[in-house]
Amino acid sequence: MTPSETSGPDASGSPSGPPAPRLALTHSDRTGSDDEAALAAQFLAGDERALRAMYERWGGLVYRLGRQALPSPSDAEDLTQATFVAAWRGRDTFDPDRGRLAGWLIGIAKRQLIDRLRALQRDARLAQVVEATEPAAPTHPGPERILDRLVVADQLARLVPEQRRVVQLAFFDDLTHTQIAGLTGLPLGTVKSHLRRGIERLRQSWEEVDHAARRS
Amino acid sequence: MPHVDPDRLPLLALDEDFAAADDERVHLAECPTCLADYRAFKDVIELGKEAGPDDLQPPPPPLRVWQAIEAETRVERRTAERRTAAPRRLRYLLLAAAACVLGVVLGAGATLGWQAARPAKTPADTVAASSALEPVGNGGGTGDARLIRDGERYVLEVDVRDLPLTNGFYEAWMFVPGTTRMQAMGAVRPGEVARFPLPSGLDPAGWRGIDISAEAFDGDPGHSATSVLRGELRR
Repeated sequence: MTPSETSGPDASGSPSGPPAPRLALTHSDRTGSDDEAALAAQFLAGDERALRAMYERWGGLVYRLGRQALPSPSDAEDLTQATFVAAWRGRDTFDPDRGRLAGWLIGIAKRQLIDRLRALQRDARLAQVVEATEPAAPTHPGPERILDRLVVADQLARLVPEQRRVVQLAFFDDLTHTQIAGLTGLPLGTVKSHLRRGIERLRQSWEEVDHAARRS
Repeated sequence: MPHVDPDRLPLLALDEDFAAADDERVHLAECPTCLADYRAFKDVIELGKEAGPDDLQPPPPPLRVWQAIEAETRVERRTAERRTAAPRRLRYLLLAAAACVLGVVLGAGATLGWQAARPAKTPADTVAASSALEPVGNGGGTGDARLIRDGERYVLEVDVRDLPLTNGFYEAWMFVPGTTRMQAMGAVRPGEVARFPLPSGLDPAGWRGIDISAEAFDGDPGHSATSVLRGELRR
């Protein structure tokens, strides 16, 4: 059964390179909610480019979640893969009226993560029985906390640049409003307004995603 | 006393000492509505402050993660199409009937390859070659191997089923038919689709042979010389 053909296995003959995702998610002050709505519509219509765009947008977050909450990088890869495959298979269950696409997707990642953590706990208990080892130290912080932190960080990274800079100076450098105004050259009133709006935006986004993730 | 100005709450939460007037403090201590709002802002600020650089800009997962997602969602679609178009049993009948008629085998292989590749619309969605995996000897088992082309890259998908239970594991290999040149691809588990990116420099035109071996956990990276399934990729 030796085939006589000697040519390469490339059956397509078409130019290389996957098409770039059409959707660009912009960093608007409204968190690109219009873009997300367009992406959600494309996804529901079964367009595979939407899955790719979702992966570009949230794949890093899901992978990071896995790296933080699971023992090995390959567990994190597995979590990411399983999340997006499950999202694609379950796309009919996404209801835009019930919450954001981000929350729905992150809810899937959360369930996948919890399943894996439970399996690891089972294995650990089994190992204890078999090898009489000490129980594994509980992971600190817990997966919920990691997820909340990543969702807030994701939104923080998407604030408009000036607002983001002011919030970061307050969060990470512990600067006072006056110090931030001095450093950035912005009027004190603008600094306060950036802080207020920035923090409100973080909270709003966190609650939207969190609620959708809990419900989905 | 009136509620705390909602615009003040995020700033109060950011810094407890931030010019909190006495009446604001007194009110927060008494008003569950304002206090709940204040605490929510405190929580989100605390979460934000915990964020490190890799939380703000998470590094992307390795390339193979997307390749695996793409392959898995594609396999699903192709499997659905194949079930309606060409039942698996028909293929084995074809192969069995063609054992002495090489031309028929090549024809069937080409037809199936074409059918599998047909849904491909983009270069990222191309089954470059495929093969059924047939038992070696009388050990049983079955499977499929597919070579997926993604731009300039290739990924081998291996799906094995109904192999006997083993104390060791099963491993996928690619080889050049007619030679002893073999390349270990990795472990496969019955009932699961395994994906292996082809090492760059491995020309899939020559490395058409697919071999599944039964391996022991003996630390020997070489082929055990016990092949359980074999196939040859065809376009």
